[in-house]
Amino acid sequence: MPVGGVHVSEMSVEGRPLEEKELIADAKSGDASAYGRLVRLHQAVALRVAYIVVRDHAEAEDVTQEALVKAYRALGRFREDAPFRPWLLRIVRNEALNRRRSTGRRELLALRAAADPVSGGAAPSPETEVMSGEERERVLAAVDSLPERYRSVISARFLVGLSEAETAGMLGIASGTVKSRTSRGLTRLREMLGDRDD
Amino acid sequence: MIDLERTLRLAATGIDWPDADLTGPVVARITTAEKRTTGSRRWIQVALAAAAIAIFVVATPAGRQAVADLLEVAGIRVSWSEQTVTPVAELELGEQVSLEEAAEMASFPLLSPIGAEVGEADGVYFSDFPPGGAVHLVWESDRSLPAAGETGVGLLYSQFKLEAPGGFTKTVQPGSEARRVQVRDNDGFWIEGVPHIIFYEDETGSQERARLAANVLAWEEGGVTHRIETTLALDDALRLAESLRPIS
Repeated sequence: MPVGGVHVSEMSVEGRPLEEKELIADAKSGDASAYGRLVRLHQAVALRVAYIVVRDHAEAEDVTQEALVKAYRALGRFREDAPFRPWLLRIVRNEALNRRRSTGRRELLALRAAADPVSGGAAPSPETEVMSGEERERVLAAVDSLPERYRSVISARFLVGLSEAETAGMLGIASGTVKSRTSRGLTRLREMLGDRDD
Repeated sequence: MIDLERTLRLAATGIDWPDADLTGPVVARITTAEKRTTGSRRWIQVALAAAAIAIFVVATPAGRQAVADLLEVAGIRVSWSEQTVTPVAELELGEQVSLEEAAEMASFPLLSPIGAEVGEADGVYFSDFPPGGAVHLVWESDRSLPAAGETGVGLLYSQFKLEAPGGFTKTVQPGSEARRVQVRDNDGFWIEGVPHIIFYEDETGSQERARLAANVLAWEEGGVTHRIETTLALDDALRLAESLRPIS
């Protein structure tokens, strides 16, 4: 059942570590409702990670649900001293990559633009006001045209909104690699976007 | 573009992200699954493809013991399996890059053969799989380097350093010979004979990208796993390994 009100600000909360640790411990011992609370904490960002890969809402939801069930079964392998979210997101991303591979789709579909970014009666944010739909499409298309090694890092950092450490954990690469690929990816984007007329 | 990072974040706010509450369905599924308590782990989760070849691997007790004694080289485990394994994946190498780019992208020092009989690689690839990244050097087949039916190429030399839990398992069957060897003063193993199956098992226990592999020489050196896959014989593979030098 879709619900509204999941915002980036909620996703970027690093988690209340103590509470999260307890939830993980409870979920490990078979408490499904504790796992449900973990799902609620992380599902919005998990859906984003899946959507970045599969580019289809229904498929992203399906992939995320599958991955969350798999992660529950794999909780026994989760090291409790490690951060939970990157671990979870790595499972989501792997599931999404496998799905994309199994459908044989090589080309990335464009990321869907929100029809009305100011729905729900909220005041338009200054941010959405300053970027035209056309400009947004151009920026996102540039990201999509990056080689995979840069695209995955740039998308995770700036589109999904993960920290450097979370990106490293999710992609299974070193933080230093995230740093260098971010920097090179941004340089390439600047080259691609720099030739505009303004 | 004054602040590209900010621009990207702005662009992200205009994406129509999926926004579903999966709590109910997920909790329902894990609760139902627990009630069933099948207890047996679903061993093969690799999707069945129409062209899949099913191979039954039945080990003799003696053979199983011999392989059980084999060492594990970082990230690669050798085992007998009595399960049905369905190799479906094709060779996936990632994106083609130059050797210099690969050296820059890899999180470990790269080796490349110098003065080897096989000459320089025909292609260099960088892949984000397995986690941590891998560099693959590929030689097309020719008269002195017959193509391996399993990979379609003459020689494949891969280097990777696993940076996430998970690893490869090689499943060998009767007719294969698997033994310990010393490679460049490091412990390694050699498998030849009947093509064996290699698959990657991630931290959830999911197995993926099962594919058939040709003869393989694998060893660990400085925390990096090296793997040569070819139709060449052991001596030739060892000579190639000895010719490897760091890329400066």
